[in-house]
Amino acid sequence: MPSQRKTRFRSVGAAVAIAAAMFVASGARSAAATHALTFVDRPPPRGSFVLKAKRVYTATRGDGWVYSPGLVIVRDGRIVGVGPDSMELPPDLPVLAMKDGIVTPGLISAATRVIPPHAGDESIAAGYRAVDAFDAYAEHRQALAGGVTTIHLQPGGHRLLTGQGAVVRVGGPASARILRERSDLTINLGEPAFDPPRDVTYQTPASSDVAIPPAVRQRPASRLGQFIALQEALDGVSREPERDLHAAALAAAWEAQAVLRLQAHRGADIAGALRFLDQHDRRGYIVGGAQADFLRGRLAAASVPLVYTVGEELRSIPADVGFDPDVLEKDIRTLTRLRDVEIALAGGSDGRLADLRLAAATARRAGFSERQVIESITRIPAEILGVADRVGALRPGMDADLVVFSDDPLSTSSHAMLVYVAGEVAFEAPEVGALVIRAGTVWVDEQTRIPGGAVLVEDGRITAVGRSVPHPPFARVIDAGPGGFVAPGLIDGLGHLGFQGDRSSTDPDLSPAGIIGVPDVAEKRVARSGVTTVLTGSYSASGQGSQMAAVHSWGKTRSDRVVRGTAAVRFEFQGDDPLDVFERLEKRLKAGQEYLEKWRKYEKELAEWKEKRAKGELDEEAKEPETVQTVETKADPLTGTWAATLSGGPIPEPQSATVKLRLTGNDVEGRMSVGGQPDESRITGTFDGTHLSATIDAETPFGPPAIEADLVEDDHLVGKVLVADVEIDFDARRTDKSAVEFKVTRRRTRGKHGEPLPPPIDESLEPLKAALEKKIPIAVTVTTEAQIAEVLKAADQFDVHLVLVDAEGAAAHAEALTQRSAGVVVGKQIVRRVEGRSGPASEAGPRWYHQADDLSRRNVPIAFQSDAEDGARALPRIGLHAVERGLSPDAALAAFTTQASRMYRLDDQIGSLRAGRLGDMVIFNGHPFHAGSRIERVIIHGEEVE
Amino acid sequence: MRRVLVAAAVSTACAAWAQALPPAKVALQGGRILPIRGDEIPKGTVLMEEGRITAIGESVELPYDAMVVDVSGKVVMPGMIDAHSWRGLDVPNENLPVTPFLDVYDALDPSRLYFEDALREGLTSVHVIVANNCVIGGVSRVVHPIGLTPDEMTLRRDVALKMSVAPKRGSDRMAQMATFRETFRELEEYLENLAEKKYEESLEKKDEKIDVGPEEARKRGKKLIEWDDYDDAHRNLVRLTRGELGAFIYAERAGDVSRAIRLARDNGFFDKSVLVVGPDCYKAVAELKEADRPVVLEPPYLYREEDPITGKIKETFVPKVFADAKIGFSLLPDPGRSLAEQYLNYQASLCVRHGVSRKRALDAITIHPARALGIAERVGTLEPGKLANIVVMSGDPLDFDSWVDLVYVQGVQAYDRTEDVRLKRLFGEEPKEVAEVEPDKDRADESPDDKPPGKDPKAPTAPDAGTEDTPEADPAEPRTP
Repeated sequence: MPSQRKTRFRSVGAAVAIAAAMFVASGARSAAATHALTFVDRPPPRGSFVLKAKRVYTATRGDGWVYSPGLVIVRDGRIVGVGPDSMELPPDLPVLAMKDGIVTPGLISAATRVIPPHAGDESIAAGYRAVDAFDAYAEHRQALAGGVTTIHLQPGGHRLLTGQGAVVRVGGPASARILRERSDLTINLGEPAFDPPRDVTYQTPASSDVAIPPAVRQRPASRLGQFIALQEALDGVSREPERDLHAAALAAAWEAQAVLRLQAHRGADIAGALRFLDQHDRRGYIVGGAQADFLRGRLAAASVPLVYTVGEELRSIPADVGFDPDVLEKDIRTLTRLRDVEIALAGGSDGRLADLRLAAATARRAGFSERQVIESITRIPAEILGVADRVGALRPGMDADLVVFSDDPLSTSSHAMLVYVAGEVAFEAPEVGALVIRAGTVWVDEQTRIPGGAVLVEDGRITAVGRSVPHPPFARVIDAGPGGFVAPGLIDGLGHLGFQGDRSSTDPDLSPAGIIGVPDVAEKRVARSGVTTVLTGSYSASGQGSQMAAVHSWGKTRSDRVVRGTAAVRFEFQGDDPLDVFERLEKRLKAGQEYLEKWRKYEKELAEWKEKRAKGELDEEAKEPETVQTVETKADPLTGTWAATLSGGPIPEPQSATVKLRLTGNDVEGRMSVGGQPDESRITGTFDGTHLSATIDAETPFGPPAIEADLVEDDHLVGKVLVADVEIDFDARRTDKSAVEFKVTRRRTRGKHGEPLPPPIDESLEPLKAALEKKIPIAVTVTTEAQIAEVLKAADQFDVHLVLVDAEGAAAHAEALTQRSAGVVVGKQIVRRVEGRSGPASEAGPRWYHQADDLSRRNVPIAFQSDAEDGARALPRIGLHAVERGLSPDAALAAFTTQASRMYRLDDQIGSLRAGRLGDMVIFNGHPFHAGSRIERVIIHGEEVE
Repeated sequence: MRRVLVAAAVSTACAAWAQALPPAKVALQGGRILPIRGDEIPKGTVLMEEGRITAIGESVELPYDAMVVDVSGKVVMPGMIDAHSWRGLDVPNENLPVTPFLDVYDALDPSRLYFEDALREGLTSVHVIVANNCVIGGVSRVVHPIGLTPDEMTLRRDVALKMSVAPKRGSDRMAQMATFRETFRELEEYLENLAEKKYEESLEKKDEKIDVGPEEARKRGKKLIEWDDYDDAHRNLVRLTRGELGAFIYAERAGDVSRAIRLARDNGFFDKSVLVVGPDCYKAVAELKEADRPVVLEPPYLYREEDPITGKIKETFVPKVFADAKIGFSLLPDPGRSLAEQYLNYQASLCVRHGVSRKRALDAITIHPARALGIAERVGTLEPGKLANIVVMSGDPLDFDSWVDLVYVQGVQAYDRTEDVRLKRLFGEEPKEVAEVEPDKDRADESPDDKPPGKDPKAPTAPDAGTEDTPEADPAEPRTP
């Protein structure tokens, strides 16, 4: 069908139609402002800026470890101020406001396996430096995504003394990556270091004067051996001149009072490590600590810090251990008993940096306080690694290593959205189009309300609603807090958004969706008020019915804004005779019915044909031959071929056209083609000797074009082509007087393969067809009871869905309306003074009538209308006014959401927070129609309206 | 069959070089001249005399006895230079990690097919050096790809000591760097012990007893060390640390660059270093810019990286990054990848296609490698006084339709496409495209004393004491310090 429509747009109409459409559209086009709607302003500022966030964990000692909300001031890559958001801001710095972001110092992992262990065979090998294996340009995006910015590099965990560790950053400028080149001597106690290879190393080829050194069994082979080996190495330092690289390196490090990093898990090894430190009067720390709880008193007494590596493999099932009694596994009880010790946490032994937050989650599970956990992955490891003067906490003077998390950093569902290292952007989360909204109340629809619920929106649609929802990686999170109330986006039951003061009625074949553009200030005002969808239509409906469209008040693109192009057919009867009402509706609906019948017939035939084809019973004979009409040749003033020029009007350049005409009596029949196109359009009309009046059978949005031309001299026609209000000059000269033959293509009823052809599309009847198919309702503006009765009669006769607009007398027909689930868009005047007669309980005398409340109590679905353009911004206030005068708050909310969407049959798209609906929602800090509650955020199509 | 072909090719090539006495004066006339330095000459003449270029210009007055070769419609440019190749050797690397005592001289085989290919591809200077799988490799040299002996081929000996900060196979970066530290620490220890020994020996000669402590003995002994006292394992390292020998340091990844620079700085050979960098090193462009040392780019030049989170592939054309940072670089042929990429001029045209300026791309295959190798005084451009290492191409060198027609090495025609046995074998007989000029009758009477240029292997490699201090000068024979 689309292809058919396309061909009908071509030929004569093409130039005219396109030009005219441009002409019309130019009026509707507004100065479109583009809105960047991403998680952060792009590109984020760098170097010097102010970062505002929902919460800032500073991880400093003493007070001020958290500010909620808070801000961080960064100047030239360094922090110059941290505090609550009431702090005075330097006027010269750009402000990055992350209203859902939670800021922590860059996380620090004090135990990693980012670099593989060295390949050396030596048991004591102080000459190896972990920093040599570090690539300062490598991108560690996974680590940064987990918020980790600083790590310890260990030369290996496979030998007794593997070498010298380093402290580096995993992101940011390469020149700032290395924090400490040689931070410690890494000593591994316990099983992994036992039984090193026999030491056979030779640097030069053996020859007559260079011997292969004999194989030497290296220590340690046992727990006893490890301390002997260490002692021997240290004795060598003080006694002998340096024999080799490793001895020299150990001597230098020992002299420089290097910190000893003692990796030990078993209680015996930890005790040995403490003894070793004490004996040599050295500073050091323990890494590992599976049985550290046995020695927590001694650790505290000796003030030896502990880096606790949580678990072995946090992301995979470990190997079965069966009945092995010696298996040493991390136990959460160990961690529980270490609660009172200041420890640094590190990820699993597989060294995946992103494990740091899984480790933090485990610690939380073991009973650590929030503050303890935050500090154990920031400030405490920084102090242990000797970099606390630069990273690990947010206070003036520190490097600006900041992580902005999407959610609580200790929840497993949060992700780093933005990471700064030394004030430079080191990581930005990819845009994934997922949004999680959490709130104290999620109002799904009038039946369902989830306390403490969440909604997941992916790619503009709601995909999950419930007490908890999936958190896709890098989903943006809006936490509205326990007082937050999430409701579906509010719906304006009848408005004129986008019409820009045009008070004329639109023709029945035009959808208001056509005038929807990129939103402007006016639209934004409406969106901000919480009205996310407007059923928009012209100010007045045409007699033949005007279309209404459901459009979003805000959206990035045009297509984002159109919810349904034709959402209803609107008729308007004000003060009309009730009988008139019926007659007009009937006439129009009948036309629609006939049109629908044609299509039904076609569909039926098509189904039959398909069935036949499937069975192989197709009758090839059914093909219709094209008829060619030949005519007698007779010279007359019109018959022949004309070369025409079309110019002026909206056509930028003159177009040439070929017109073939034939005169039979007064009737003119012909063909026209524009600009050498092969397609010809049929011309039919009359000729009275001098004046040609014809229509061109070409499809345009404004009806068929017409030719009005006069024969000003022999073989010269001058006149105009008229499309809508546009006039195009027409000037034609006859080039050939011989009678023309042309194909009279009667409308074929069968296609090439004998398939039935669809009937022509009538844009003005399409909406009625949809209404008669019960896809969309007809919206009727009526007033009196009598009129409503007639409307109901027509609706019954044609079996269509009905929406009544204004309908002052609707209460009298409440039952009938409820039965057919027809809704009422209540009048603009919420409470009006009426004479007693039309009220529910017939009382004498005037009184106040609250239509919304009355209908709502009678179970008639209601909606509110703005009957305005951006005036719709005040609609929520009108709802509050209705509540003030007696309507229940929930009924008011239902009227704005579920009921409005249901009466327009849009409930599969909008109106509730069920999966599959568009992600339109409004976040309030309380019930939307409670006094004192306020609108906080508006989300349309999964994007927040800024 | 293959052997016969090799023999045929080698004998043809060598015959031209060694037996037929080439004319002492040759003029290439009528071609478009790309001198690399200075303006292009649309139609001009290059005159070679005694193996050197003596004149170049639109119209050059030719000596009566010059052999004139008409190269109209063709392009005359300096011979291209391969800045880093192991292919003149039988294997890329020794299996020991530290071998400063090795010299590629010992493995150079003039009959290797590679040298014949080099001529066919328009290379006139090849830097033969051990490959990257080492810690400290051997000493390299620059050779002409033609000659009967390594000595005859040599253009410059003892160019550089090869080093790699990227791990040797089976090793890792920590062990690699530890090996460097150990090597230089051991060198220092060796020198001190040697000095002490020399002092003791000097006293023994005088029948005196040691009179000072070891510190003083070492200080005094240092002056007594003579060149022959160093053993093989340390001699080249001593030369390196004294700046008498260059270094070609290979850095595979961006993180290696700082280690390479530091290694050179800490041990005193930074000013003589050339960095051979892998494609990942484009990230370290700021560091390389600051270091301001010649850079040799390892192919492939189109570098692909994948984002682990989004899976997006990022493509970087590495030479463009260096060109944008205004860092001079040499290009290398990539024989492993495709037929096209083994041609150095194709690599240059690839650069131009990716936005590198034409000048920079041509520099990267001629004068820049010449500078990096310290031979810019002699080759790399067409200038009077330079060696007559000239390539005549059928068209623009950056046009992939062009091929190498003639190659002159030190004024001697070393390659002629019409006489290329292997190509004939591949394509059959082709119509000769180079109009040959009848050799001058007088030449037969030339006195035998008139040695043709290039015949004397010592001539190009003769140590030149006057230019020793400049980085591009030849290192002299090791002398007593």
